[in-house]
Amino acid sequence: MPTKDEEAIELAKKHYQIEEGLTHVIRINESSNVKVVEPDERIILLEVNTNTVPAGIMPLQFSPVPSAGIHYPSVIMEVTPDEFEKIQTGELKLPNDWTMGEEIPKPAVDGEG
Amino acid sequence: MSTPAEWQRAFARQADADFRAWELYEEYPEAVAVACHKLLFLQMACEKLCKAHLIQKGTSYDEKLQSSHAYVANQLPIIIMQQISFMKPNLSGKGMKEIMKHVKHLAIEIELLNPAVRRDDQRPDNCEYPWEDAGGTLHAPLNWTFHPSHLLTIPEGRHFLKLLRVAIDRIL
Repeated sequence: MPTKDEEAIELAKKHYQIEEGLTHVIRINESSNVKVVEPDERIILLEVNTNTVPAGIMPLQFSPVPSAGIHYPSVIMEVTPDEFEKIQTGELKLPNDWTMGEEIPKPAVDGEG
Repeated sequence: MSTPAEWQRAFARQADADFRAWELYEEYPEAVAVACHKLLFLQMACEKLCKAHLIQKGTSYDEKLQSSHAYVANQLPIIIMQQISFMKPNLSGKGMKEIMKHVKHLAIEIELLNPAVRRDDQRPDNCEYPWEDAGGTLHAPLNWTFHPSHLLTIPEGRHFLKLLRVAIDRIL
């Protein structure tokens, strides 16, 4: 079974393939001070999309889908580039004391198959 | 007191019931008095599906979800994108992107079907209540041609409806 990191990268890659407005996908780290269900077992991605509408930070929860190779629950948040700037400057806060982790870069060749 | 997981399941079940009403109207078009009724069920199903995904397990249930309505335009495309990721569909990257472009447009229009969403009074058209336009003309949903009615009939719109059904089934 792939690791959580491998699955996060695979999920981000699929999102880049499907959504052409995606410019950045950032891994989110959970604070150990905040009580959440299985904090180490979720993939949390912050996605910056030039084609989305500004709506603030709204984390969407998804269950694992082992048949599709996704063995971990995932949380996806999508923001506009402006909102992303505000997150970076601290004007907009991530919920639950979450912090931004590594960026998963856009694949150099955007797969067409 | 109900848990967030119970709230999530209740929203998911209601989304399913609303979408079943849409599907019944698809199957038996003669049962629909006017198109706005069918679209009302689609709008309600989408809103509840989005709310079901917004409920965070392990945290308290946010009651704002009950009274707010502007969740579809931003959230529904993410749910559909995730659904496509899960399905590994037999579509080219370009085909998926075309569907996603269409889904974004549709999601904005579906959100506008709710009378509470008016885009600063620029879009008072909705599928429940009569409204007056800027020129003072009164309109009723039963006589109005809504954008989604057309957007749902083209191939990308049919794909969207199939993906929506699977996304609802997945969260049930």
